[in-house]
Amino acid sequence: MKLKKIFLITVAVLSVFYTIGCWDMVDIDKRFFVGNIGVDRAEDGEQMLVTFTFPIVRKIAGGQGGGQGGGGGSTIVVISTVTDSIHAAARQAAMRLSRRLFFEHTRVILIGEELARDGIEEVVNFLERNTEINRRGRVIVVRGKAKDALTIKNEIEVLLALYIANIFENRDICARFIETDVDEFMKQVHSMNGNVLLPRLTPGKTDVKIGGAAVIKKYKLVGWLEENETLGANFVLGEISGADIMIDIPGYKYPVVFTVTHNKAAMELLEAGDYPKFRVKLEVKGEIVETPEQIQLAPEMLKIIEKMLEDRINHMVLASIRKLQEEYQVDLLGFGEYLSKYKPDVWEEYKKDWENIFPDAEINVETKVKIRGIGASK
Amino acid sequence: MGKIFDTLFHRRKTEIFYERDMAPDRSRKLYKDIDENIRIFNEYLADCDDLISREFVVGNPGGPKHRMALFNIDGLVDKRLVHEEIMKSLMLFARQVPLEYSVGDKFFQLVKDGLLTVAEVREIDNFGEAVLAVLSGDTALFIDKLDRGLILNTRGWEKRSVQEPATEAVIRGPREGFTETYRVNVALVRRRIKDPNLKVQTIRLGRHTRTDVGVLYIKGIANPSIVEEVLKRLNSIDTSGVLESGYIEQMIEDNWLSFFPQFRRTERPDVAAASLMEGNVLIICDNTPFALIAPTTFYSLFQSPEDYYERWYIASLIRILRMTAAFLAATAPALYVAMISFHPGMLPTDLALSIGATREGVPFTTTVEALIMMLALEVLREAGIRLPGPIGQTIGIVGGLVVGEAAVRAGIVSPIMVILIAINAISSFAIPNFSLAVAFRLLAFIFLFLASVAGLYGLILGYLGLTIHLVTLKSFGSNYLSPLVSFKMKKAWDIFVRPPLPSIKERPDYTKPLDRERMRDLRQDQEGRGGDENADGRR
Repeated sequence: MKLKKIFLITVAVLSVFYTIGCWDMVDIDKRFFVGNIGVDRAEDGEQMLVTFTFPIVRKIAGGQGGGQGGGGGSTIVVISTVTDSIHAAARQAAMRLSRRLFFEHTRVILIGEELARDGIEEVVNFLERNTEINRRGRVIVVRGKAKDALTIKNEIEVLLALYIANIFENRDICARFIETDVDEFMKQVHSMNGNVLLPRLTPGKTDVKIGGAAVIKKYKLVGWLEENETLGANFVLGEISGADIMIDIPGYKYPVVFTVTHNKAAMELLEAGDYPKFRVKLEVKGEIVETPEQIQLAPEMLKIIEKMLEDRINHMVLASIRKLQEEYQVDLLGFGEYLSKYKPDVWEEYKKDWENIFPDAEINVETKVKIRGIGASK
Repeated sequence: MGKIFDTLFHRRKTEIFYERDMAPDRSRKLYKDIDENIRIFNEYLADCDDLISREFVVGNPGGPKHRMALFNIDGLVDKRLVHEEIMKSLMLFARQVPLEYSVGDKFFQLVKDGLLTVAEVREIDNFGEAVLAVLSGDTALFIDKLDRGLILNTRGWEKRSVQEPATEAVIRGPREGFTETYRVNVALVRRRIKDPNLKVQTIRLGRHTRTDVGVLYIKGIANPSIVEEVLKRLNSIDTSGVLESGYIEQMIEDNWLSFFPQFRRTERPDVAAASLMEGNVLIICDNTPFALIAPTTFYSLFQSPEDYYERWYIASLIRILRMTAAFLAATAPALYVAMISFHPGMLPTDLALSIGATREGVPFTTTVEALIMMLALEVLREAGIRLPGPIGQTIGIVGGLVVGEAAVRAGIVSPIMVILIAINAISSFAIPNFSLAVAFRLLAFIFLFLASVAGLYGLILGYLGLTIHLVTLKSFGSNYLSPLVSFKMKKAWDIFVRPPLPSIKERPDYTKPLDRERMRDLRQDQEGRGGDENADGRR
């Protein structure tokens, strides 16, 4: 009786071991930590040029590990292969590598401009099916070739991937680019039928710049939003916790610099005729951080500055909306989402033809600026 | 003829020494003839060179003389007592005894009541008791023409004085620890609980050792069913000897397959007293400073007496620290292996890279590396106990620093592994109860195996198994995981924090105390009356 019990327990415990997906153990020193994946259109115009970069850990963590660390040369290995899929590229690269490529620390997925214009479905598929990929990696569209961004000589951070990925940490002081990660990207790209805003990266010689946004419409890159336009879009998305706006006050040489600390955005459907009429209400709070020499920030003056700021933001936001409406004809700021969530009956009417209706929708912007501080000294 | 006697003695001896309930053989009565008594007593203790037998004569110069015989064991008795209070008293004072008291029973009564200046005197009428008493350090006194003897308590041997307990040192709290002497230990507890309800029941265990084992409890608090159970289990022990309370512990514990100690053992009389007042039963065993507390819960093993002497913030913090340490002691290597070998994606990138870098060139897999280091540490620890003090320290330095450093430099183990195993080892020493610490160290190996087979998944299976085991474990009918299993949140708090003393109004549930109230809140009454009395009026 007792033997039977022990037998049953053993069988039960052993059988669970067959359900584990992570049977195969690979030690940490038998893996290459891929930091970046770059995807470009190959020269033949059909296949993809997939680039992986990974660090030589022996070199970056210095010293230990048998003492052969340090030394000159690049700490980053860049390996490219031409193939039809990213997954296959990793397998092809395995023929040239001594260790397993490991994607759980992939911080950056770069998509080359040329490929993005042809369509990013393959990248989406890869991100969706791969069990290893880091869900908090950044998906970025590169102006030019992704490989160019991966071969820059940058030594700010030990890892190129950390350098690029950590630029996004600065979004809370400078909201001139889009912030998104793999998770968010997948959610948006599916719920909005392949319409999504992605951050844009411009490679330089020794550094890169992340600024502006790539407008993806139906899985294809259709154009860019410049930095100011991205800032305007971010106002509508209500995601700004830090951005500087400069306004010139007549009669003074230097501008007043206002920094946004809080930003709230609310949409409102005013009319639902043939074309909907929206009002975007923005509530902006912030501080004045720099002023011209002799300006007296008396309450009356602050009122004037607030008014000027309101006009300025209105103008900026409207410009972004216009560009999306007229040039790209794609709703990326959530007007459709707002309707489907809060006005489902109205949305029923527009739903089918929203792509054509949105460009003609009338959108007003109403901004309320509140200056909460004027700096440390008077 | 001698051969017949030998076989006879032998049979008698077996009768005495192999008695099942360890009680002396009372069937062999004393004779009226003192020569016969002396002869038989000497036969009982034949070939025992440490036996001292002394025959002497006392009596009024004008009256009858009385032959007496005195037996004791050299080294077990206080010689001064025997000289001064027995021999001297008898020999000198017997001379002044009036004639009418110098005969028969009257004389015996006088000796017992009036002449012997020893505090504890007991009357016996058989050899069994006499032999056992003499072997325990008492002195047996036989008087001519009487079939009764006297047992005089003259116990006094070389013993360790009351010292600070070595394994349960505290910063704040009494420095007294139990010793190897049963009576001293009981007295140390009695000194703390001056309550007639503190009961002491002594039984003897071990066919040969006849060790005094005391069961202490406070009547009115301790649940009688637990006391009975303890006594029942103790009485069921039939073994050749009990040399340490560990023998008892292992023979009466509920589950001898478990890693976990089912008794809390203590060297401290204050801990013993505190647990008695919580309704526990205390088992004190002669010849060892370690007393056993039953029933025991998992969480009480994490407690140190200081928890209740220090202020509650500190005590709570330390208690949480100990829990963390226990967790690390059991799972640090396993967690590391699981993370490094199976789920490096769960580590922050920087950390993963630096660990990866330290493992560059290490020839072993992480599991083997961890195993080597853990075994090395266990060997070192064991060697440290065996080696004499001064050398022990040297070995600690050589083993820990030199070998560790050299192994890292040679590239055999990674420095992070050395750090990890060091943390693991130190954590296990932060657990107050040594038996529990050992249990966690054993678990570390099992967890390491599970983690190296199935990663975090295996580790979680391990936790699951451990939880199931702990939940089913009982100590004298009390849940081992009490108060966590009782789902009384208010009491479960006591696991992780030590509540402020005024808020612990009830005794814990696991002892099933008869009297639940530990404390009445006097402050509330005072506040009811108003005024600031409690500011300085409270003790």
